[in-house]
Amino acid sequence: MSGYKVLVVDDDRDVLKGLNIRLKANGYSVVFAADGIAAVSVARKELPDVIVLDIGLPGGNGFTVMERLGSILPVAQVPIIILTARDVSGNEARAHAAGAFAFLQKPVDNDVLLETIREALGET
Amino acid sequence: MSHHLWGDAAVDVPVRVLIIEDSASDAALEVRALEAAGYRVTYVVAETAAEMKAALAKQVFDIVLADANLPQFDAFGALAVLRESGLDIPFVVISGSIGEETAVAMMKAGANDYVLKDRMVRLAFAVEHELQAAEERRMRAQAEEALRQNQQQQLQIRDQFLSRMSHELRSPLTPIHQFVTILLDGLAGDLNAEQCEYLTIILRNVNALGTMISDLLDVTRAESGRLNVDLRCVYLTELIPEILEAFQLANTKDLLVSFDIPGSLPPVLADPDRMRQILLNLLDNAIKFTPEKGQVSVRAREWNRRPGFLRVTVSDTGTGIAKSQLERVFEYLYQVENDPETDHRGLGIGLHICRELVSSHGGRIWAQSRPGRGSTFSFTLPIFSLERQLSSIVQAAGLVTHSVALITVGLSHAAERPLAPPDQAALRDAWDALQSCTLANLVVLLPRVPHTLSKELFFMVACANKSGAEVLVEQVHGRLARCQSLRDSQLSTEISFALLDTCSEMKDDPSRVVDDRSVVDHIEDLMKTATRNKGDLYEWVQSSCSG
Repeated sequence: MSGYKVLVVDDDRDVLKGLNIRLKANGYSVVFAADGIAAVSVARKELPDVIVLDIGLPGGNGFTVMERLGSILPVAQVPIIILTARDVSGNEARAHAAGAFAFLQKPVDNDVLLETIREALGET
Repeated sequence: MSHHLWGDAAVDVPVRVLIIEDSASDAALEVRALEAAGYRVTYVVAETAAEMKAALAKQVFDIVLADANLPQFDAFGALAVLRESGLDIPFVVISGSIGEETAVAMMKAGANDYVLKDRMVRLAFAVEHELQAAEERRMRAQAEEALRQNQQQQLQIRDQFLSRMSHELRSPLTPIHQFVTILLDGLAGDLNAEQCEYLTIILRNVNALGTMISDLLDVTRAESGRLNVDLRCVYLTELIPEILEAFQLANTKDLLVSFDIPGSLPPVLADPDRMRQILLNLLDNAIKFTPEKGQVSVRAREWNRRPGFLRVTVSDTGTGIAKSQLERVFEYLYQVENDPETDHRGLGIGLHICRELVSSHGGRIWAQSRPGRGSTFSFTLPIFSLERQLSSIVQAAGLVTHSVALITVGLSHAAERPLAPPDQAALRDAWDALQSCTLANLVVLLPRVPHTLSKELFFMVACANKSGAEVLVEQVHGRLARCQSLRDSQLSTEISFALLDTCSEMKDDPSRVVDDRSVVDHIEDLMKTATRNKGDLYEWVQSSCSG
C-alpha cells in the first residue's frame, strides 16, 4: 500500500465516487473537493502528494485553481494531473503551459491514470 | 458627334489621375479630354519611376495614364512600378503610333487599355470603362471577403458546438466507464461468469462510443486542416502487438487476428496515438466485414517502391469491396453499398479520418480487394531518420555558423537480440572507442540507440565540413579497427556521414560566429528544446541509452 494522499477535484459526484473506489483499491488515501474554492482550501489543509484536477468547475476553473495553488508555497510543488472531458485541442497545451504534470481525457483508462499518478509521484 | 454621349455618362464625376508624361502639353490634352466628358479631374504628373513611386505612396489615384515612350521611363517601367506597389489601379497607355505587337505586349504586361494620341476623343470612354471595371472588382472582392468571413464564422460555430457536444457526451460516459470497470475488477465484490460477460459487453460498447465521439471531432478538424499529430520515433515491432492485444476485447467474433512484423524493421516517424487510431479503424472494418472463422492479419515491411518508407497492411478474408468502390471508400461520409441483408452502415468517417491521418504523417493509404475473397488496406509511413530530424532542427535554429556533420556508425548482428555475451562486450568496447574520438572537443557522441532488433546505431554530431567529416570517419575507422573484441565478434560495421547544415565557415555578421564548443552545446540545447515542443527525440535517445 502506497499511503500517498491524492486530492481529487471534480464537480461530478459520480466521478468523485468512482475515483475514490479506484484509488483506495490501489492503496491511496483520497480527499475531495467539488469546486474551485474548496480545491484550494482542501489542498492547503491536507497537503496532498498529487492532485487530480478537472477543468470545468464552479468557483474558478481548473486553470484558475492551478494559478491559485501556484502561489501557495507548500502546495506549489504538488504535481497536478488534469483529468477532463474537454477537448484535447488547445486545452492540453494550455495545461502544460500552466505547469500541469499530465493531461488526461475522460473517460480515462484506469491503467493509464494509475500509471500517470505513479509517474507524478516519482515512483517509476 | 458621339462626344456628348460620354459627356452624359459622366457628369461632374471626380477622378484622381496619375499621369506619366514628360510633356506638359500632352498632359494638359489628356486632362482636357476627360473634363470635356464631364469628369472633375485632379491630377499629378510624374516623369520618372521615383516620382511615380512617391506619388503612389502619397495619395490615392483612380487611374494611371502613361505615355508609351518616354525617353527614360516607358509604360513597361510604369507598369512594373504599379505592380510592385500592389495597388489595383487601372492603367491606360497613351501613345503616339505604336505597333500592334507593342500594344499586345503592353496589355500582356498588365495594361488595361491603350489610347492613341490622335484619337484622344476615345480617352474618356476608356477611362469610364476601366473605372467601372475597377469598381466591379472592388465590389466582388468585398462580397467574396464577406462570404469568406461568414463561412469562417459558421465553421467556428459548428466547431464550438461539436466541441461542447463531445464534452457533454463524454461527461456521462465517464462514470459509466468508471463503475463498469469497478464491477469488472471485483472492487464491489465477486462476480459470476455471466455477470462478467455482460459487463464486458457494456465496457466494449462504452469504449466504442468514446471512439466515435473522438472521430466526430477529428473529422471536423481534418476538414479545416487542424488535425494535431505529434510525431516521434515509434517502433512498430513494439506498438503493433500492443495495439492488437488491446484490440482483442473488441474482437467479438471467432476470428484469427495475427501479425507479422519482422524484428529488422526500422522505427518510423509517427504519432503512436494516431497509429493506434488508424489501425483500430482498419481492424474494426476488417472484423465487421469478415464472417466467423475468417482471418485478419497485420503486416509491416520496408516498402521498396518508395525508399524511406514502410508499408503496413491490414488484410482480411471478408466480403471484399467492388472495384468501383475501392477509390471511394476513403471519401467523407461515403458508405459501401451493401446487400441489404448485411446492414453494416457506420458513419462513413472512419476511413476518411485514416486517410487524413496517414497523409498528415506524409504517407498514403489505399485499398485492394477481390470481392468474396477479402480486402487489403495498405498505408505507408516514413522511416525515422535522425539525420532528417536533426537537420531540420539545426536549420530551423539558423544560429549555427559552422557546418554540422552527423556521423552514423552501424553495427549489425545476424541474430536478433538478446546478443551473445561476446557481441555485447564488442558493443561496449565500440562505444568506448567512439568515446575516445570525442576527446577532440568538437564531437558529441549521442547516447546509444537500438535501431532495430538486429542493428545498433551510434550517432556523433561534429562541427565539421565535408573534409572534416571524412577525416573523422577515418579516425573512427581506425579506432574501431584496433578494437580486438569487435574484430573477434560477429558484428559487421558500417560508417557513414551526412552534413546537416552546410553553412560556409563565416556568415556576413561576424558577431554571430560562435566558437566550436558552443556550436556543439547549442546542438544539444536544440535537441532538448525540439523534443519539448515536437516529440521526444531527446528523451527517446536518453531512455534508449539507459534501457
